[in-house]
Amino acid sequence: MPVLVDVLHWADLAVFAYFIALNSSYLVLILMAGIEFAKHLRRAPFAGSDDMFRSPLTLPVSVIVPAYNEGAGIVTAVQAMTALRYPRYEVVVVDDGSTDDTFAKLRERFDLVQVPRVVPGEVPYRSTVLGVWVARGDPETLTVVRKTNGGKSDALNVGINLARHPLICMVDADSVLDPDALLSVAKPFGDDPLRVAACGGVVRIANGCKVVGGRVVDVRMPRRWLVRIQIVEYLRAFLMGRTGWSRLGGLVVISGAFGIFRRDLVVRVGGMSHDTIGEDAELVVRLHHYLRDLRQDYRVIFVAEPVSWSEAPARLRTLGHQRRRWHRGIAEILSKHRHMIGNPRYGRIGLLALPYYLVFELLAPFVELAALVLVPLGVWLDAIDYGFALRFALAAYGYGLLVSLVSLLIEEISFHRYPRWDDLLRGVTAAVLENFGYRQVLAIWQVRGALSAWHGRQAVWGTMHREGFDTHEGAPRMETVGAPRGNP
Amino acid sequence: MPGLLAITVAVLAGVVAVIASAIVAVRVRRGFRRRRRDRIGAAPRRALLAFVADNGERGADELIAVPEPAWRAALPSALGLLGKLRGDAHRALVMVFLRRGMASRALADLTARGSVRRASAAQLLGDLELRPAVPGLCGLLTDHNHEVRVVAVRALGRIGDPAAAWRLIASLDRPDPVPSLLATHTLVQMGPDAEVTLSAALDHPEARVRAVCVDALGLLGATASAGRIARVLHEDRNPDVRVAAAAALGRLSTRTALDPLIAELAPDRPAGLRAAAARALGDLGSPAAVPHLVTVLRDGEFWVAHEAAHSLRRLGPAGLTALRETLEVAGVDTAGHCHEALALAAILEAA
Amino acid sequence: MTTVLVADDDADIRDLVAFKLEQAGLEVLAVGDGQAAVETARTRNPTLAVLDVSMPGLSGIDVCRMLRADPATAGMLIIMLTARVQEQDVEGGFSAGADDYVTKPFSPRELVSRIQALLTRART
Repeated sequence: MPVLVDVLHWADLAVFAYFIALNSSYLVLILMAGIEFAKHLRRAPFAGSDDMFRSPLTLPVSVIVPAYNEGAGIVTAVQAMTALRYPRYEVVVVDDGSTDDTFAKLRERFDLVQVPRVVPGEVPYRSTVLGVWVARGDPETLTVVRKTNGGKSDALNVGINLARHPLICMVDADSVLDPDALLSVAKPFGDDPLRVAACGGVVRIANGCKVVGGRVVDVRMPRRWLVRIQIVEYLRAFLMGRTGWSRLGGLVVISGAFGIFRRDLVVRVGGMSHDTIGEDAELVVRLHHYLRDLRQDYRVIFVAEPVSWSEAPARLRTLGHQRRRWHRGIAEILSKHRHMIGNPRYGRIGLLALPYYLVFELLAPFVELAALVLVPLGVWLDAIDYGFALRFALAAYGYGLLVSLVSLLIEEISFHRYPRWDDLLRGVTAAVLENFGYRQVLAIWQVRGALSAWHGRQAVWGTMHREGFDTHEGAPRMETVGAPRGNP
Repeated sequence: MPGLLAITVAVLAGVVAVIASAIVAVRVRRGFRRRRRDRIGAAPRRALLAFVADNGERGADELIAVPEPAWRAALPSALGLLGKLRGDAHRALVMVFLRRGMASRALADLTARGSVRRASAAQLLGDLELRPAVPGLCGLLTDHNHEVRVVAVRALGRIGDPAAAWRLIASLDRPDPVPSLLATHTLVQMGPDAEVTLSAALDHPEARVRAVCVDALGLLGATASAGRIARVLHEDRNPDVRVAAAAALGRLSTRTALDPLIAELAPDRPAGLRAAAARALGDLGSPAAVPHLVTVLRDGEFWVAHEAAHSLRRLGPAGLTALRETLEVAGVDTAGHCHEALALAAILEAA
Repeated sequence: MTTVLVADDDADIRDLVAFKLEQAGLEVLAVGDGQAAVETARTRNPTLAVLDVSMPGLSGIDVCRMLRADPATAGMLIIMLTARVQEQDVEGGFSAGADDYVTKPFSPRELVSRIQALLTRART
């Protein structure tokens, strides 16, 4: 029994140290973000997005929009996406075998006409392209592809094949974009064309906001506390966390909801992976892998200006599903690229970013849940005293709360996108409430997600093995879809 | 033990209270400053707008007499208008700024210690389109602060004095240079007189400099430099610069650009360059390129054949006829490119 | 009297343009964002709208496409204030569908004469 108490004592100390380190790392990232925002705000008057809009040399962008059963919102979304402030771009909608009226609505609204099109097959896809349509009035700027269902990665790969411009921007069909979204996120490519490889935009939560004509016109906090807590979480983890990582040169996640990549690089690394849940993050890690192997000087950048808004899950069940998926994604990516972790060949990615994701992202929910058992058990068995338990609560929850509040403060100083006083109060309250229940339930989902990655691995690898001989090898297949038959 | 709990809760509550009040303080201060500026600046701002609306025919003296604190409150408006207007209204505003001594103060500020002051001064001098400020602004091209350099480049562009071209080009050869796109735009704003300098810089050892100069020459329509750009297209060490040279020649729309571009369609050239040349031939618009483009329609690289097909489409009737003829005799892949280009041509014609 | 809608998030430009147009004898409705522009256009039905392209929320391009899509306002004359040099004839990119484009930096005098030219052309 004394041995058990001893072990418990040291385990509790370890958990305490873990939480101090975890929250300190958040705080460091957030302060880095604060410095970055300060620099950004100082530069804003001279940033010159107009230079970018004006120049005939601004690199044209292909916006790729995968859509599966999006009939309800697709027309508004595509209308808004075709009215961005950007000098030259095209929109490629990939209808991934929708069973609803997604295509019919697009055809009616944009007067689509079918055209023959050569699909280069530069990145592999498994489905069949049924045909390509263009808008009669604007054939070079709106393309709609219909294909058999194959999942999001597959749809993106078909879109990448059909994209004609040197930059590709991947956008979810339900994303609400700001009119300057492309301009903000493509700007690093104009500033430093020889080095920038990819650039991610921040995703904010659209729930509660007023959306007119496919644009957010008034930013408000939503009614449900579940979503308000997610807003604080997004500010802390995505806005501040990723800005911090971008500044450190270790950004490994670009949200699939809004990111721009150099097309040639995406083609060279083989496009989106079919077998990963978090295909967006996986692509970025693979880009790092490829470019570091070549020893190239390159940059992956995160843009903090609000550009894209997404609907966050408002119900526990959908939120749980989403978070299980996310954590499963992290686990799969780390396992797939495990030889990069701690490998000095991969610089800051291998030595800093990926080890961080392993220790402080993947393992955090395990420690969180362990602490819920170990600390009370320690008090009960006298392995630790009551004072230690309180200090632990301060380190895990109090410090965490401090970190959330500092993110709110930095948001208020830099972007202040929530103009109402009561929304401010709701933000602060949500930061407090997050610690009572939300964090714990989240940890349970995340642990389940990570475990499912572990269980599911064999099955996924099995299918991948077979695929390897079918499509991933050999010369790229090129096919022409929709060409009149009867010709040689 | 309850004492410890109380302390813990008190610490937590204290943290929440301190940061929450900091957030409130930030917001209150922002609102207060805005209201104060609106209040003090309201009258001079009205006078300013009336003056500008009249193209400066009346009210100059009143504006010059506005006391300093009120003028400072209205200054953001005045600076904003200065940057967004041109013509009579701009000239009138410039006069007010000059008579208030703003220009000489800005010239002095170009060497100030604070980088924000240097940047603001450079911005103002650019918006005033003040030629005598060019040497001072050129001095900022080597400033250690990135923003200051960016503002100086933009100001030089607005002034548009070609005398600054070589200083700007020289400043590109350094670590952390100003954005390429901005440098190109500024050089274009300097007009045709910058052409000689740009052309001479095509031998610069730094690839980035050559790329910027090639782009600028293309946008300026510098037909006299077509021969020099053609040499870059053939000989440059850097493939990206050669691609940029192809695009620039396509923009020049001069006959002398034709043969150099056709030469780059040869199978031993890198695929990216062949594609760029095929595209540029479509921009150039000479039907003499048709037979050469037809040859590369059979290119095994997707992008080369793709660009060739669409360039043929853009070349008009001769190109379209060639596409139709190729369709009859070509293999599946080539025919696909022809079908695609012809279909697009049909839609564009109907629209 | 002919009514003109002026939409620009920059208060100085908005007031200046409004001032110039009132001098020219036109009735002016000035608004500071795209949403207000769409609402005002629908309720007051002005003859012409001057839209700044870069407004937060609904941009000038958005306002233009929404006005064009609504039969009640589809025929409204629209002038865009833009940083782009040649909005109309750039290959690719969506044309906003305005009747005229004025490039920033702009001359207020030129803007007013363009507005008057459009109004005259529409009347004949």
